[in-house]
Amino acid sequence: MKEQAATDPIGRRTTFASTRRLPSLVIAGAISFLLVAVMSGALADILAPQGYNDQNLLIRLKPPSFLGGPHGYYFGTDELGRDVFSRVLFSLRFSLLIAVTGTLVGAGFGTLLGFLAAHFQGLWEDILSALVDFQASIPFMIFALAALAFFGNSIFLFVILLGLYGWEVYARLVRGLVLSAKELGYVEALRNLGFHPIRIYSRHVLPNIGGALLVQITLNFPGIILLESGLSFLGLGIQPPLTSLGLMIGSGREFMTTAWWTAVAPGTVIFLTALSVTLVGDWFRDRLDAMPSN
Amino acid sequence: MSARFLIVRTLRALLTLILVVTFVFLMLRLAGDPIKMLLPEDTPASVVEQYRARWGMDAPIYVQYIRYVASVLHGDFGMSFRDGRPALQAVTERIPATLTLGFAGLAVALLVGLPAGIAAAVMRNSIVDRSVISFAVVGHSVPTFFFGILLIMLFSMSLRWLPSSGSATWAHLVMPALTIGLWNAATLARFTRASMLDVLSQAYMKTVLANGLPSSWRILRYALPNAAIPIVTMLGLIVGQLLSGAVIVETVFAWPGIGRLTVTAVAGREVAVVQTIVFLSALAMVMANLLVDLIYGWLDPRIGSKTGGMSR
Amino acid sequence: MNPASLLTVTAVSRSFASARGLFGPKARMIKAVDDVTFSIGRKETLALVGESGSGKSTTGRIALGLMKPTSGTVHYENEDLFKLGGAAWRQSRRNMQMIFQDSAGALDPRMPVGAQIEEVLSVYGLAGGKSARHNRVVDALDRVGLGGASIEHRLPRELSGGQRQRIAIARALAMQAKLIVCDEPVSALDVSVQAQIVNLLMEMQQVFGLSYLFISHDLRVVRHISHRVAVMYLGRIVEIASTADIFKNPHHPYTQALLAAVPTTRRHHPSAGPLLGGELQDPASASSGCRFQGRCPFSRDICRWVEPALVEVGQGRQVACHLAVRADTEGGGRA
Repeated sequence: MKEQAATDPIGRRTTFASTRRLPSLVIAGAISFLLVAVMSGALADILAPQGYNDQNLLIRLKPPSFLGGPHGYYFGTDELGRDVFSRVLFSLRFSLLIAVTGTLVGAGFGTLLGFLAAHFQGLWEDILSALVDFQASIPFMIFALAALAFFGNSIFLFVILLGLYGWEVYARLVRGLVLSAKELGYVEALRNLGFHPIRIYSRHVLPNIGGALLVQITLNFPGIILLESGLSFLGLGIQPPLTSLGLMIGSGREFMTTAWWTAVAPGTVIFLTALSVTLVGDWFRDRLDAMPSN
Repeated sequence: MSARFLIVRTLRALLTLILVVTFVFLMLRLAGDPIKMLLPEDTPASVVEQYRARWGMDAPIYVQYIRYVASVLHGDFGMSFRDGRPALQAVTERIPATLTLGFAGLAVALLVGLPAGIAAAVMRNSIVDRSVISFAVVGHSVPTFFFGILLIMLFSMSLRWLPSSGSATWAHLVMPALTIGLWNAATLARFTRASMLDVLSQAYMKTVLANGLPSSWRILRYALPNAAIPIVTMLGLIVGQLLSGAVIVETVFAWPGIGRLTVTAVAGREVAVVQTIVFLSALAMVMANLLVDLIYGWLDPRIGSKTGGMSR
Repeated sequence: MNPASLLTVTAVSRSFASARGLFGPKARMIKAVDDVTFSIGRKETLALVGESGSGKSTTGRIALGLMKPTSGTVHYENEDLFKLGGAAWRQSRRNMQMIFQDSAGALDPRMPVGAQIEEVLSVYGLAGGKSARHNRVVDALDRVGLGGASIEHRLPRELSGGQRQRIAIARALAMQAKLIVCDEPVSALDVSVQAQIVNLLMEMQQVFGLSYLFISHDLRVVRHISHRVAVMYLGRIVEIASTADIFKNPHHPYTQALLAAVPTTRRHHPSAGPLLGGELQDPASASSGCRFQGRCPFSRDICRWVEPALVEVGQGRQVACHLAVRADTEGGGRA
């Protein structure tokens, strides 16, 4: 599950999708899908025909309405007669919310360490590299599961774990960017103006490296979505009565033979979301690379 | 490869393992009473007392730490809740199944990922290249568990060619190996392509190719050995991906390996089993990375002579 | 320490470790600045001239407190710059500012230039409210010849090099800095713009009583702007005197060579002059004797063995050359 989208193991940038510009039609599709997904999650209360835990035991495991299922159940029903379409909308909301929070935690933590390493160098760089070595020594899935076993499941821990996935990519990126910003001269000039380092980093350096950071966030995001849904699929992430896309697939798996739609509907949504974010991230990076560097 | 390089790398590996042991010890202390967490609830009081004494729970923390490290070195990780056996035994008996799956997955990844990456690089911008790129992007967006379920639906339910779960025959291995292998093949194809493109764009390669049509023999003969250096570094990453992937794939296909054991152990909060798995997988990763370093140093003598400075 | 002087640099040296592993396992120390002493008075411009690699930029950074010297002290108004704590050091920045050769590198590439001046005012609380600050920004821009409201909203890359240099000057003025270190401030600019910036600097000196440490390799500019000139060679000051003395009657052979290389307005051939043969020595190969002896046409035996000290040879004039000292004493104050 571990992936490094921005650099290969020897630190060189590799191109995930293509060095060429992707066909604009594909990008337009990806952006529209993401817009629809975000809107669906945000407006789930309005858009969903039913609540995500509304049961109707009379219509269990019925196929989607377009395949002859009950009217109004676009994606069919699950083993408790809940509307799969409504559940997908709410799952999208929770999954995206958790994934975004985890991403922000990871990006924040990594960025902070990157700044510390670049500012103080020496000891902080050693700490950073020891942490990176340590994290690379345990497969992330095993690490996450162990933390859940030790401390028990909670949303808080879950979000922290998602954040720990990929933080080192940000830390390394930010350290490199800050070091090169320091060489550009404006950091020294600001220092000479007598500004406090915190002001220099937050008001001046951060906005200057923000674009590259944002690209990295987009490139890491699919991995976080897959991790979130993977852990939830195993029953170790988001717990009922809340719902998430991974959780839906996990319970839908039991009914593969009789009601494939219970797993295929959320699975397709995860796939399309991860794919769209990847495509948009690549496109975004190509645009940033093409921009004149000041 | 210099002896110094070898020593530095080995020391780093050992240091990392010590870090892992320390980390687990701290987690155990933070999470609560380690004895309670490592022994089943119905453990006889005498056994509990025996463990308390052995780990010196009343002693200062550093003594506890040293004793903990000593017991880890002896392979004593506590007892499994479910059957009251030593946790190490419960884990080691699962290793062969996971190794089988891991090697099969690695074989799929290499057999698919390497040729795909090479072909994409050699036929850059062709339909082949585009297909490989699409495969890599799409392959990385499909959740492995979802892919596994789709395979089961297709091959077990519709076509009825393959068994959907268990590990009784070789046929059982096909779908889990494909699921875990294709995911990694996507990663590998991407890196191989990038690495090959890098080598092919270099001056000496242009000379080699200018001597005639770019025959596939020439490319394999001249470009691949150079492209192999960065690809080898991927393998450490892939071992981690295989282990992470095993957790999910073994659950989907009810494959009786370490991954599935991890999930049941976590669900039952069997900390003893979980910590054993953490140590063993860390050991596997560290060994894999050490091996990668050594192969790397052997492939590229310049690295070996420059010692460990490259790590930062 | 001269009480009248604003900035006093005393016996400052700075060594760098050369890249390790390139020439051997051990790092070698290179003395970029070696025992440099000078002072700058109020409303005075001291020029620091020399070839690239002479250590003049490093000296400038040390004088400003941006870089710690290996040894030696820098006092600004009797305060030791390197004994200041973080907060006091930052406060000292208000008094001393720098203008860089790379005008683009001195400004945040993503912030409108007006906002960058305003930020300085707000950090130091130099103007009351937001509107007062804005007025000050407009004033400052006006004063450096960038009047009109359109400039302040532009990004640095949308301005010319000369305009950016004016912004840097405006920012230093807004801070009410008293000393400005100008590190090759005009050498990246077109010749026509150079004169404007130099004139602006001189005008600001008149109006605000500024002091400048003016680092340059361009002797024509130096002659125009500076009151005194210090000539550096391989990390040491070899001659320091008033601008008139230096240009009329250079004592040190290196100064003479530098002046001979200046293209005059009449003769447009920038000849290196017959005096400057040989290569700039590797500063790492610290051999005994005078540093300039390898390129010096008047080199004697003594130059090979004894390093000449910087000694007073006249009113406010110091030279580090065995020959100049002797000529001076023999000739009975010929200078």
